[in-house]
Amino acid sequence: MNDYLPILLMIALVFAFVGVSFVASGLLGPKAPNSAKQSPYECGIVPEVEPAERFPVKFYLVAMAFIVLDVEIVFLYPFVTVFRQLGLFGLIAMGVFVFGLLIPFAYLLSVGALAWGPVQRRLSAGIGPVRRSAGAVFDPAAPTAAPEHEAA
Amino acid sequence: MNPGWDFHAIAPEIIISATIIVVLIADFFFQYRRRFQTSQLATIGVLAAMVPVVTLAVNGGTRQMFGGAFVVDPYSLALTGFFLAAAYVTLLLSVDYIGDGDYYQGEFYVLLLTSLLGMMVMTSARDLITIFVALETISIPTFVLAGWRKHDPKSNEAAIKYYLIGVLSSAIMLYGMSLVFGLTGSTLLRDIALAAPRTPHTSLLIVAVFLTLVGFAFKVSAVPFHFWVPDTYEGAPTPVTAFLSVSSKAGGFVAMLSIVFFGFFAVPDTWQPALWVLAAASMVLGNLAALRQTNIVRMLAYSSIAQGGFILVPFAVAADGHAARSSFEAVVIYLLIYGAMNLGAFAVVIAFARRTRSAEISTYGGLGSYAPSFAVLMTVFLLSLAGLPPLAGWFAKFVMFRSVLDAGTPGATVLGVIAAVMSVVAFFYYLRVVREMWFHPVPDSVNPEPVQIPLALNAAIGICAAIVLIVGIYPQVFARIGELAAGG
Amino acid sequence: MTLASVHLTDSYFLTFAAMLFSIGAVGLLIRRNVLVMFMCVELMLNAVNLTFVTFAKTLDDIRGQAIVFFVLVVAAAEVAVGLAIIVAIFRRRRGGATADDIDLLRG
Repeated sequence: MNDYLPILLMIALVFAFVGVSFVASGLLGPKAPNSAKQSPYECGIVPEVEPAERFPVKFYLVAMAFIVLDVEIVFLYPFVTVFRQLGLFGLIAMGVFVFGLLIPFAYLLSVGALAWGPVQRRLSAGIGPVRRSAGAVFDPAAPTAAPEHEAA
Repeated sequence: MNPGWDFHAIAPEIIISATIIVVLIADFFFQYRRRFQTSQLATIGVLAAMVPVVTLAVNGGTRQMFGGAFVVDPYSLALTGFFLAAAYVTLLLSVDYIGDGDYYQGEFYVLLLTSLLGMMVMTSARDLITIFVALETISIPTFVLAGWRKHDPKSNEAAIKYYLIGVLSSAIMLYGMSLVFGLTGSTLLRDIALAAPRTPHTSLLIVAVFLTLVGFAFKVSAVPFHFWVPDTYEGAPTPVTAFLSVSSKAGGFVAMLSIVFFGFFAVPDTWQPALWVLAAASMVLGNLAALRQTNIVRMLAYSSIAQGGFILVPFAVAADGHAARSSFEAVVIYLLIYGAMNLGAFAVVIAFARRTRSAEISTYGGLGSYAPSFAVLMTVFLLSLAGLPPLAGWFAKFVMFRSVLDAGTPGATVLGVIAAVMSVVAFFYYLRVVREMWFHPVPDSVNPEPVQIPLALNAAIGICAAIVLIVGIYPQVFARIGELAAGG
Repeated sequence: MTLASVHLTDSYFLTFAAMLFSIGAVGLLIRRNVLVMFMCVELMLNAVNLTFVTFAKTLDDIRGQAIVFFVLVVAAAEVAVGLAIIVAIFRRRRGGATADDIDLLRG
C-alpha cells in the first residue's frame, strides 16, 4: 500500500500547482485588453474570406475504405517470414484471410461507395424507396422522416 | 502442418465468423422485401454456434491453443454460452425494431454478430494481445450500432460520446499493457502471473495494472468512467442499449476476470485498492443518480452502473481471506442473472415504447389496469433487479455478500455495508416504477388498450422471465455453473 | 561531440513515449475540434507502439513488434468508424466540427 503514497503526493502536487498558477496569474497579471489583443492573430493580414470550400464527403469514404483495407495487408508481412515453416496450412489460412478482406470490398461495390462520376439520384435496387424511422423509440419525427438523399 | 489448431475448440467462433460472412453476402442478393431474412440467418448462426459449446462442455477438460493464449475450459464455455444466449435474445429484441425502421438490416446483424464474436474470443483469451483485440472487436461495432439512427441527432451524439471515451480508454489500456509487457517480459497471462511478483519495479507495476484496468472500467461503466453511459443509452436504439448494458458490459467483466484472476492474482496490491474504489463509487453514485431519473432508459442506465458496482464487489475482496474461489463464482453467477433480468426489463421497455413512442416513467401510469400481464412481467424484472426473493436477483446479491463474508477483512466489511445500504436505496427507484404501473391513473397521452407485442419480443420476454423465476426458486442451476466455471 | 558519441538508452525512448502519450491524452481532453481529438488518439496509440518496440528491443522479444501490427490495424479501424460518425453528424449539422456543438443529451 505504501507504494501508492508517491502517486497520491504527485496528484496533490499537480492540483496544488494548477491552483497556485491560476490564482497567481489572476492576481498578478496586468489587464489591458484592446481589440488587437483580442483578435485571433495579433499580426498579419486580417482574413476576409472564409477558408476553402468543404470537400465532397466522397473523399472521406474512399479514404476510410482505403485505410482499413490497406492496413489489413500488414499481416502479410509476418506471414511471409514464416511462410516455409507453415507450409500448406499457412497458405490456406492466409487464403481465408484474404478472402475475408474481399468481402468488404464486394460490400463497398454493392452500396456504390466506389461509384465515381456525375452524381446520380439513383437508389440501388436493393434499397427501399423511402427509409422511415418508425419504430424508433425516441424519434419524435418518426412517421415524417425525410427520404434519404445521400445514396447517390 | 497444423500449428496446434484444435478445430473443435474454436468451432463456435468459426461458426459465428462464417455466419457474419453469409449474412453480409446474403444482404447483397436479397430483394428489399426479403431483407428481414438476414435476421433469420443470424439467428440460425447463433443457435448453431451453441451446438459445439454443448459438445465441448460434455467432453469436459481444458483445451489450449497458440501457446496458452487461447484456452477453452468450463469457465470460457459457461460465458460463451451466456453471450450466445444474450445475443439470441438481443436478436429477438431487434427484429421488429430494425425491420420497422427499414434501417440497413443486413449490416445491423453483421455488426451485432461481430461484437458477439469479440465476446466469445474474450472468454477464451489468456493473453494481453488477444484480450486487446477481443475488446476492440466488441467495441468498434458497438460504436456504429450506437449511432444507428443516423438521421437522429441524439443517436449521433450517443455514438460520438461513446466513441471518444472508448478510444481514449482503449489507448490508456494499451499503454498499461505495454508497461506490463516491459516489466514482465511476456504477454501471456500465465507467464505474467509468474513474473509479476518478482519484478523489482513495484510502483511501476501498480501504474501499469491500473492503466490496464482503466480500459475495462470504461467498458463496464464503473464510476468515474461512466459519463458516456446515460447519454449513450438514451440516444442509441433501445435494442442496442440492451446489448450494450448486458453483453458489452459482461465482455468487460470477463476481461477483468481473466486479467485479475489469471494474471495478477499474486500481487493484489496492484489492483485491489483501485477496484475497491471503483466498486464503492459505482454503487453509491449509480444508485443515488438513478433516484432522480424521469426517463426509464436513463434510470436503467444508472441502475446498470450500480449493478456493475455490485459485480465489482467480489473483485475488490478476492484476495482477502479465503474469498478467491467464492468471489470468482460470485462474478460469474451475478453476470448470468444480471443478463437475464436486465434484458427482460429492456424488452418490456421496447415493447411498451412501440405504442407510446416514449420512455418517460410517467407514461407507465395505470399499466396494471389495462395490460396486467405486461405490468406483472415488468414488476418481476424490476423487483429481481432490486434483489427481492424469490426472484433471481436475490441469489446474485447473495453470492456477492457471501464472497464479502468469506473475505472478512475490514475493507471487505466496509464495502459489504455500502453494498447493503445501496441495495436498500435501489428499492426506491425500482419500486417507483412499480407504483406508477399499479397505483397511478393512466395519463391522458396514453391510449389504455392492451399492448400488442410481436411474437419475437414476446419470446424474448418469456425467456428472460422464465430464467428469472426458475433461477430464483432453484438457484442450484446457476450455482452449479458457477462452481464448474471456478474449476469443478 | 559527434553524433555517434550520443548514447541513446532505452529510457530515452520510454520517456519520449510517455511524453507523447501525455500530450495525446491532454490534447484529447482539452481540444474541442473532433478531428484534432482523433489526431490526439493517434498520438497516444503511436506512443504505445513506441513503448512496445522499445521493450521488444530491450527484452530481445519479437512479440513486442508483432503487437504493433495489431495496434496499427485496430487504430485504422477505429479512425474509420470515428470519421464515419463525424460524417453522419455533419451531414445534418452545417458548421464547424467542435465537440461543444454536441450537447443535446446531458449526462
